Amino acid sequence: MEENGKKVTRRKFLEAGIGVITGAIAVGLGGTALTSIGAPAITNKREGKWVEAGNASELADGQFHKIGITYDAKDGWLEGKVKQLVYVKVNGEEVFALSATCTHLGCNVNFDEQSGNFKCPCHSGVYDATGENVSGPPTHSLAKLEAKVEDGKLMINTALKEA
Amino acid sequence: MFGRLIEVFDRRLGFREEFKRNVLDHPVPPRINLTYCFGGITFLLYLLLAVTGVAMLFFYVPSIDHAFVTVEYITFDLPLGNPIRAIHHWSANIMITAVFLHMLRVYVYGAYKNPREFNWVTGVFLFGITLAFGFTGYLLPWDQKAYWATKVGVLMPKSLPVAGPFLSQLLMGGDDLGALTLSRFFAIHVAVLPILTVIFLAGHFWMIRRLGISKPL
Amino acid sequence: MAEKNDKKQVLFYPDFLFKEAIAALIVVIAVVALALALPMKVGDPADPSDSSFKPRPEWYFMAPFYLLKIFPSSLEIVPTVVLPGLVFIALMVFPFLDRNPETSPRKRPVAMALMGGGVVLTILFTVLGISA
Ligand code: HEM
Ligand code: FES
Repeated sequence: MEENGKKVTRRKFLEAGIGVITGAIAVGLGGTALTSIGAPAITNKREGKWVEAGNASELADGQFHKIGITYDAKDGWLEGKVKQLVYVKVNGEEVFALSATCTHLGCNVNFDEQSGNFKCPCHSGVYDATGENVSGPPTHSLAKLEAKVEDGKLMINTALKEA
Repeated sequence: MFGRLIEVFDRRLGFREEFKRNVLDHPVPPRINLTYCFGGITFLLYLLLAVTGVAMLFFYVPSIDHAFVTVEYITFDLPLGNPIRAIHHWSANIMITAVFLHMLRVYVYGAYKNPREFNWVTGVFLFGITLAFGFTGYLLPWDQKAYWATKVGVLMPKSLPVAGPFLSQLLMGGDDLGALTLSRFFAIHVAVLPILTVIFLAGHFWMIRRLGISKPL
Repeated sequence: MAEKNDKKQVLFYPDFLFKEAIAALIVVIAVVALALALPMKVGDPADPSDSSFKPRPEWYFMAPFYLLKIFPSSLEIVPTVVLPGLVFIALMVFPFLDRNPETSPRKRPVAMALMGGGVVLTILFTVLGISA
């Protein structure tokens, strides 16, 4: 089609060719790189697992205990230790575990003995002893975790159960 | 949309006319053949290397404890990681060939002659930079091949009298090929050399614009 | 300027860039084909206490590597420092030494002989190094 002798057509053809080729290379290459860079957003999931968190008898006082659990997990290329903070209350066989992660923007909350509430240091979010948000910016309750006593050991499942 | 945005800028800055006059409408000699494309091919390969390299930078960790694991992760676990690493590898190898052919073309056509001597000189720097990319990049996976080949390489300057041993230590960052060697090779590979490349390429391209491409035979 | 109907006028854009684009397309297809046909692997992690690993540089460093092998160790400095240094210096100053204004290869026998010699030796040493 470029051979019809008209300079304008020839120029149009060349311009279109340059556009299509550079566009295809840029989209193909950029798309490949961006797919790879973005993929961990979907593939790098943390799976819940049961982790031992101390002797149940030492904790069985019906009070909240702040426990940092450390366990082996895969995080991208790293197969190593991961840390997570939880609040646990043990009443005999009954165990109640809350994630310390504030549902607003992710700070770790502290238990306030006086009020019996959880308070977030970042923007003053407050949750009651059941994890329900009572004031401040958070709009969701603290996530719960599955927990149980097994052979005298406190066991916690690291998966968060969002309310 | 994009065209509109360009329009907005162009109305104020008038760069389109400038660009057209200085770059696009520049006459090139008639009858230039495909060997004139080797420079452009080299440039294209450099772009491929830059994009795939930056993509790998999101995952690679330049530490002797983690380099190998992260390369394994890129190679086997990361979606599209293998093609990205493979494109980086093959582009690097072909780039060496392309630079070589580009130099040969320039030499055979006598295109390095007055007034283009400094175009050639910036080219020689680019050639050295390309080799340095290859040398420093080879160590990064921190596998046996990388370690032992680099060891030979960094110890080669040692035979130079007086300054030689110090040069080797400088390359290694100490008495041995180790953690600091990997760190400095990484820094050179991903920061120093790309910056130098941009500087010398800018000179290279600016001179081509200024002097035009030399006439074919 | 672009609109001039001068038949001999060849412009950087679109004429030359079109050629470059075609060349680029071929190269990209080749690179991607190689990358897909020969996926990357990993070797064994670096082990400084290993004594059996025979180091081999990339093919483009084979020529000096080969010379290092064949030179007696008393002359080791020749392939490691002297030759690479000389090659770079020679390349750097060559355009200023070559005063012959001719550009046609046929009228530059000395320059062509130098290049031919350099290219042949480089390829020879590279091939010898790879096959050694
Ligand atoms: C990163 C490496 C390099 C890139 C990206 C590059 C790119 C280019 C490009 C795009 C051109 C336009 C004409 C053509 O493609 O032939 C060019 C011209 C030129 N290059 Fe390079 N080049 C590189 C390395 C070198 C080397 C190693 C030398 C020689 C030692 C060199 C010497 C020249 C000269 C003298 C010209 C002018 C040729 C003429 O006017 O006909 N370049 N380069
Ligand atoms: S992060 Fe807890 S209130 Fe904002």
